[in-house]
Amino acid sequence: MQASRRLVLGALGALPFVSACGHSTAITDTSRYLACARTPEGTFAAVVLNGAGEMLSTIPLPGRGHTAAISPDKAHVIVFGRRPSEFMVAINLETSKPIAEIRSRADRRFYGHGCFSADSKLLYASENAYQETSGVIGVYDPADGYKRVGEVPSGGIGPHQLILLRDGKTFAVANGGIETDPDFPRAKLNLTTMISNLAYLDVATGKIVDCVEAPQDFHQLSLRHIAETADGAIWIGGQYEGLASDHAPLIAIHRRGEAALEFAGTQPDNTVLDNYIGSLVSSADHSKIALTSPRGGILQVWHAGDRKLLTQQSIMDVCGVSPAGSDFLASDGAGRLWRSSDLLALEEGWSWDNHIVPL
Amino acid sequence: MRSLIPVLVALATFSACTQEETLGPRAVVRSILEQQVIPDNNAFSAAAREQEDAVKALCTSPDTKGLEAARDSFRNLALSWSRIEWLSFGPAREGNRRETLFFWPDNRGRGLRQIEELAASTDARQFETAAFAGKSVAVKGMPALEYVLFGVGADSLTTSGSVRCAYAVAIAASVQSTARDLANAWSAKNGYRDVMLAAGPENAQYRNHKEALQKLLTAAGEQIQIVRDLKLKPLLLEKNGAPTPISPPFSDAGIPFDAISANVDSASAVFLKHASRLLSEESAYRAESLQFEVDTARNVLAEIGKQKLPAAQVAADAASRQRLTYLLVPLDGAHSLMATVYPPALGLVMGFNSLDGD
Repeated sequence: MQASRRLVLGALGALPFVSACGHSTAITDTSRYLACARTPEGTFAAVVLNGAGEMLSTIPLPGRGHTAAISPDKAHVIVFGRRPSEFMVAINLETSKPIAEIRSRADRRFYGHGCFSADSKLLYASENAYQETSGVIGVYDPADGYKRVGEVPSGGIGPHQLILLRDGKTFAVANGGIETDPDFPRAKLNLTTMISNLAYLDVATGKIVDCVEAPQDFHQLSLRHIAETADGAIWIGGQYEGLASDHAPLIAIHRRGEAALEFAGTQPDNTVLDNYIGSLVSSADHSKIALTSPRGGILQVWHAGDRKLLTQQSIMDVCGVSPAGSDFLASDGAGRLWRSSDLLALEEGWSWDNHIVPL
Repeated sequence: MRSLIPVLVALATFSACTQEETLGPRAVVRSILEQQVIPDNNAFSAAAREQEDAVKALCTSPDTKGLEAARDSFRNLALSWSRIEWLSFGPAREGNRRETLFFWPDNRGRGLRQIEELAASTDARQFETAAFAGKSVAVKGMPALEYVLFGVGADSLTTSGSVRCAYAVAIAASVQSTARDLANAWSAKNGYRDVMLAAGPENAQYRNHKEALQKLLTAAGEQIQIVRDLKLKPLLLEKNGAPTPISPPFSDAGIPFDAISANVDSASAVFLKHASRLLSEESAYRAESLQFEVDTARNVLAEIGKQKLPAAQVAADAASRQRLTYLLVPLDGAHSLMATVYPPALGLVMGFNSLDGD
């Protein structure tokens, strides 16, 4: 591993890209985080970090990673490949070794995200059933070598992020609405007719218990990343496939039972996001939402209760963001790790991928 | 688009008229737009007009000669399109113009099935302007016209009163009007050329000319990726050791590799003829490296094209298949130079996370 060039806070004042408003943050976070990355050699890895942004270990991946899921009992960690992917990797954090590589079913492709059941006994992964042009949630048994034990419809096309809500009984799934096929990797096949939705699934039965679509006026808004806030609302980060001049809203909010999505922010708040939110998470206490736009080079933090933009920071190619204590840890494509507006570390030659998750 | 754009455009135009533009991102954006994008879009629009005329002439006096003329005109149209295919943003996205002109890839032939039904239809009323306008984009672009002119049953176009000919006229008219609108959207006053040239803090789409240049370079680089991943790799698919090729566009018209060559030529010209001017002396060899990869790809494509074999047959023949497989190598090299080597050499930052949707 290439040595990290540590950037201590005392030196930051000399760096022009550090916000003048950036407050000093003592590096007291003892938590660990996991992020996927491209290495200086061009290979791909999952990396365990501490709260100071130091790399504790790296685990090679068979392809470009995307994010990870950690079971509630912390016994299982799964890294997902970038969609469309044919692999998930189970890793042992104690040894920093992969313990299993799970391949997708031949007629399915992993679609980037997943989560565990509340009792940690099952893993759920978003998948593309491309021959049927539909999305499914694949179900895997960690106790049986991550054997695939079933699947349920995701409620739409192109499921991306799914989360287990705090009730422990319901999934929220962002069905991005974009059709793809492994024969034409990453080509978007239905942009003229696409409809994205947020579906809620009953964990016990797999039944869709609620569903709300992107508004018809913005049918090319692909709902992709989601987080639950303290008041039970779901915040959704969208990616708009239409024209910039449409001024599509990107930050959607939904409450169970409501027929339509609401949207947060003014037009300028949305315009800076350049039609693309790459990651969206809630804070540890679920009172705030952080979202990133790598295309706009923007990290925004919102107050979840009154839906007001609290802070906005320019960071080129920022994408990964994770709750970290009372604020957030963010990463970018240039190998930099940030805590709010403070640069924590730079790993030269490394590129951090879309997401960071707390372990 | 923001209302400030016309003002900005006026200022930009004034500035350009009053002083020589120094070599920089804006000058390169201008040369890409004015020496390549706009002429190539105008050429496509002209080809679409000729195609409409040729199809109308065929349907007025149907005979074999007229059919051949319409087919030749289609080949010219397809090659013209292939030179602007890389422009996947801006005017191409407005009103679904891109999909209306070129509904591709047609995953599992769903569009083709609709086209086949229409081509076999005996009800000419559905091809009248108003009725046809309401049909899916999948049935009114160049892939549809290719099927009607070259596909099963195309010989019926040489007989008078052919309903299939009415379908051909309807498609040709749709392609012509969309191609005209596309060309205008680039070149009109306050059109997309002006939006890109008026990059600045008040421009909602491009905050500076580096961003505008980056947009053009990204689109050109992605076209090489599309050629490699969506046109050639599907042609090399196999199952249990037997080829199961998916033919690239314009295979029925007999010019799939010429069209791919046009893709490569136009996408690489953005770098070789324009962006390379910004390379420093120390980086100038990058252009030579790219030229080498492009020439290699072009030579392989020419060799394959010379065989005049259907694409599926090329994929099935061992020697040709080897050439096709080899072709991926210079395309990989060209894409790598375009996507990861050129941008930093030009002072641009191509984001790791911002290149594609996730």
